[in-house]
Amino acid sequence: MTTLEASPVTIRLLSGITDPADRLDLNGHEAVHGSLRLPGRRDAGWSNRFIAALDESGLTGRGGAGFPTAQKLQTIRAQRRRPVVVVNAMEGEPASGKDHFLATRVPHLVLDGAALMARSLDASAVQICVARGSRVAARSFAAAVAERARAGMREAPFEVVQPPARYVAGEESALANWLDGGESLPLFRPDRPAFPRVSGRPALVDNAETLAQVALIARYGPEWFRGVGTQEAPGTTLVTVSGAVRAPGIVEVALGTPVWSVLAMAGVVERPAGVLLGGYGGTWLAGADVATPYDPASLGAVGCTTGVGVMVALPTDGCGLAETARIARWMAGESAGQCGPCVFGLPTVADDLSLLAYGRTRRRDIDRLWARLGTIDGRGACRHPDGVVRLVKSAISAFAADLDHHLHHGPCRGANQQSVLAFPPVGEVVEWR
Amino acid sequence: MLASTSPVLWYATRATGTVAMVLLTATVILGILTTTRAATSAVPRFAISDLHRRIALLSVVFLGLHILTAVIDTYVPIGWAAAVVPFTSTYRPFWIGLGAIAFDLLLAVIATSLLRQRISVRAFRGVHWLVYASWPVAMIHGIGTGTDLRFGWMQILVAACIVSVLAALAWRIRAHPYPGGHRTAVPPSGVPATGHAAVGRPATATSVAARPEVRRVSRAEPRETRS
Amino acid sequence: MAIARRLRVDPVACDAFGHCAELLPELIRLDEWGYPVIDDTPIPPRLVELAETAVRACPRKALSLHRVGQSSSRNLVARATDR
Repeated sequence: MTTLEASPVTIRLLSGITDPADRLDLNGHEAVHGSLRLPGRRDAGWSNRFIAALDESGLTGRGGAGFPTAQKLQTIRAQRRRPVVVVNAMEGEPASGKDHFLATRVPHLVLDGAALMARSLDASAVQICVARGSRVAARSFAAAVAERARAGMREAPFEVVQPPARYVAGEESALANWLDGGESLPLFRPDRPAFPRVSGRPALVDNAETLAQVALIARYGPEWFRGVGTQEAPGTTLVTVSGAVRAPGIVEVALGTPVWSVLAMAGVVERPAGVLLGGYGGTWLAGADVATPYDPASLGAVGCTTGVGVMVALPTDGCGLAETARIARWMAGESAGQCGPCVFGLPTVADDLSLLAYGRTRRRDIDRLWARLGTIDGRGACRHPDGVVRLVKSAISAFAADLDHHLHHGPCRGANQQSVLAFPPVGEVVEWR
Repeated sequence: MLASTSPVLWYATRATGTVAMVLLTATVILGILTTTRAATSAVPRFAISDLHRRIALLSVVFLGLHILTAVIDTYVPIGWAAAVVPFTSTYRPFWIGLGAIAFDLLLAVIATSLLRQRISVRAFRGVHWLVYASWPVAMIHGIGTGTDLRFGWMQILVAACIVSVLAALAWRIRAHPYPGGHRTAVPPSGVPATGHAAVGRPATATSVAARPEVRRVSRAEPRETRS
Repeated sequence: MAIARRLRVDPVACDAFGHCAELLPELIRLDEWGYPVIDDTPIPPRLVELAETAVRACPRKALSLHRVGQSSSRNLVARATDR
């Protein structure tokens, strides 16, 4: 199901993958990228150069928050205790498949990145977190780890672990909580240090794609990395494109590529009614704005965020409000259930949206919904409700015309269209451990 | 060592015991009411909670006097140790022993209450649950060894205490069928937060009678990249 | 000179008892589900004692006072939720 369309200069992460079924084992990986030569364990000079290179590259996290990778590394490095490295390949976002893709096609690129981070921190261990139920990804990582051990690569010990496949389980503190033997529930961390801890050790939690990018930067240098992309958002990123496109899949694009071009790589047929960016906690891009370059600054100017690399094209005969209602309903069910504003607020918002999409609403119901969104925002322990608030607000803005139609004439025809979104079926039993 | 005998001490033991029973019963009821978030316009929730704490303090005072007078009074041989070590009293070891048990349990609750701001919420609440053991044991102690139980008014009083606690418990369980805890809450008016189901399409309604467990919209195309 | 302080609620610990909003309606109101919405601007001196009472009254110790200067909401680096 994957396409590998990309302009030649931006095939970086996907180097060596010519067929969607390809998987690069260690030999294949080294044939493409050369072998990874880790320095000695306490080579402070190398460590400094490595961090400087990351800093210069301007790499930001590819897990959705976009935090500067070098800065995060510095924070952990400044701690006294020996840290651990956590590879976040949880991919709780249903609309995203990139981390799974990296795990099953180029696992060694991710592991290289993790090994580099671990070496620069003299970390005690690397925990590779793959969502429970993703057997192929977990096996792929495990096989890659075994290969590296057999090849005599002396790296920090790798371990593949599988926390529960819940949306919030991939949140940093939830992950750390689970690794510590607890449940995968986010913690309330208002002004505690910016990093989670695992067994008392500071934990560097990085997205799988971020680490893959790190592996490339270590080999080819920060200048190479900055060769594509924009000044503030350099490099490439993986985007999972789905929805009203002929060839849904994962594409690698330079940041700053217009959204429309990215969609074109996946075979978009006509201008969509809207594009969901950043996943279910992201934002809707209005159809009129599809020429916007795909980078945080440009998207910010039209009220959107990149978030994690996801684009879902809404067909012209679809209804953005109905899709948003479905997302809100699903997200409400994915609440960790710890904080009242989320536990009660999200279902209420979902109800409001359902009524808006499928029933009759008045302007004052919209005003009340808007007020509710303001009340819920920022009052949970984690960002989950904030994401829903952001999504709904962006929907109201991006689909303003449709909203008007719904207010005055009831549901549009698109509301009863088949959804272009995927909602993973979850068992009745909620497991957090 | 303080020791004497006098009918005054004997009456004091009985009287303070009775008052302690009533006050402890009131404390338990107020504690239950605090959990139910009940309030009236004249008595807001923080006041119920505060009243619970104050009456608890008062009941401890009377309980202390009850034990003190019982031990000091040499007419009946109950030593200091018998107040805390169950079944070591020479006089009616079983019934006094029950009193000692109830007192021991209460001591733990008192200690954690005094240290509430310094200990974890979990430790405090965990120990606090012991009152559900302490109060019945105390009541049985009173029924077993209470001198005044031969009087009708005392029988009515004891019955009233028991009935009111049971009623409070029943109300708490009926109105709030799910256990308290960090994942539940009651909307202030007791009315479910949302009422209507989604009209039209598959999105299902939230049920707020229980914890808002939202059933997922199952138009799931299985995720293509998953195993 | 008193140090300015702010109120903060731990949303995980909070169980919507509502004592805080009753004691300090000037700074705390309840949302429609019974949970506190905190005004986290520095507490006026005349309300500090009441704020301390409210903090002590919380049955779940969810309410707390903290100094101005610390971030009142999740700090910026902690916003980096990698998924």
